[in-house]
Amino acid sequence: MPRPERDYVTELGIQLRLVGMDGPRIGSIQEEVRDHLDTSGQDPREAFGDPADYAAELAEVHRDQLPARPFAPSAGDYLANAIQIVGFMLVLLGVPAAVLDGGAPVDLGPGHLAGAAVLLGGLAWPLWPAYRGWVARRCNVAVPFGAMLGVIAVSVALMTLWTEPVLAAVSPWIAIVSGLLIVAAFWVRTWRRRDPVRRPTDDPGEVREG
Amino acid sequence: MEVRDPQWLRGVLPLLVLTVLTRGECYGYDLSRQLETAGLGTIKGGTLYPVLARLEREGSVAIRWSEPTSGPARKYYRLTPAGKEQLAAGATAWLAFAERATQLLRTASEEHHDATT
Repeated sequence: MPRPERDYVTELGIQLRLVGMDGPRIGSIQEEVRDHLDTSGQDPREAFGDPADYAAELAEVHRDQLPARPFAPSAGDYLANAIQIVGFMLVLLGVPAAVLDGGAPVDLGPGHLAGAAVLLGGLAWPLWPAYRGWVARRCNVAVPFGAMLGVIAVSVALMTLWTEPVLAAVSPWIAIVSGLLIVAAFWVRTWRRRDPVRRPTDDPGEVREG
Repeated sequence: MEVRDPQWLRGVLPLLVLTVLTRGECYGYDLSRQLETAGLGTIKGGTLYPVLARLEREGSVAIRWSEPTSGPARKYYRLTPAGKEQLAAGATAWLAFAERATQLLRTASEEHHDATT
């Protein structure tokens, strides 16, 4: 397939994903467009129009099956991310204690609790519809990205500087192992929720003829 | 020469697609060529495939994929019993509407002709 057609099909796939279509349906639509262009020799934009407009028209057909707000994070997504951050924190606290301090216990102070609270609260912004509207209106990715870095910096400062009094002492190995288990569970969840674009003929049930 | 207003086609295209499919199953580009051969002008993919997708969702057409030895897979459409019912009901309604519209336009055309001669 020539490059303009390939580029068009790729762009169409992106636009279909942005309106919330699932991978198998995107694969089917792309394959049908490929076949049409291959057979007719037509220019893709002449035949199908702008990829975003064509995706919007197809989305209208499947409106009741598409999410109202594609990619809007749910409370479950937020919770999973928060748990993953806790897992990373445990590993980051446990490794230096195990390697540099010869297995000395990890001392958890008020800064760890406050830092974790700042981190989890700060990163919950995307859950608020008002925040999403604000980002959509300004469309400047630097602002939320900068805010996220600021939250992380405050959190790290609290954990590093506010260490007294010691509230609990945990074995570094327990911290590392439990942290790795949490991170692994997050990645299993992510893997199970993946939705790759698939060609329709990847499913043997779809093909009736060779 | 394009003799029709593109807007005319929008309402009736699903019925025309179902009509072509009464001849047997076919794929999208073949369908658009058959419509063109019938004198309906060029039907672009961006117009035809959303109509096919809607008919598929409604259960008026069924599909199957064919994997060729080379090139992309091909999606074939065929009429279902529900599609035949939809075509029968839609064709009757459309013909009644078209007949009334034709009568009205003919009257207007004759009056215009009389006024100018």
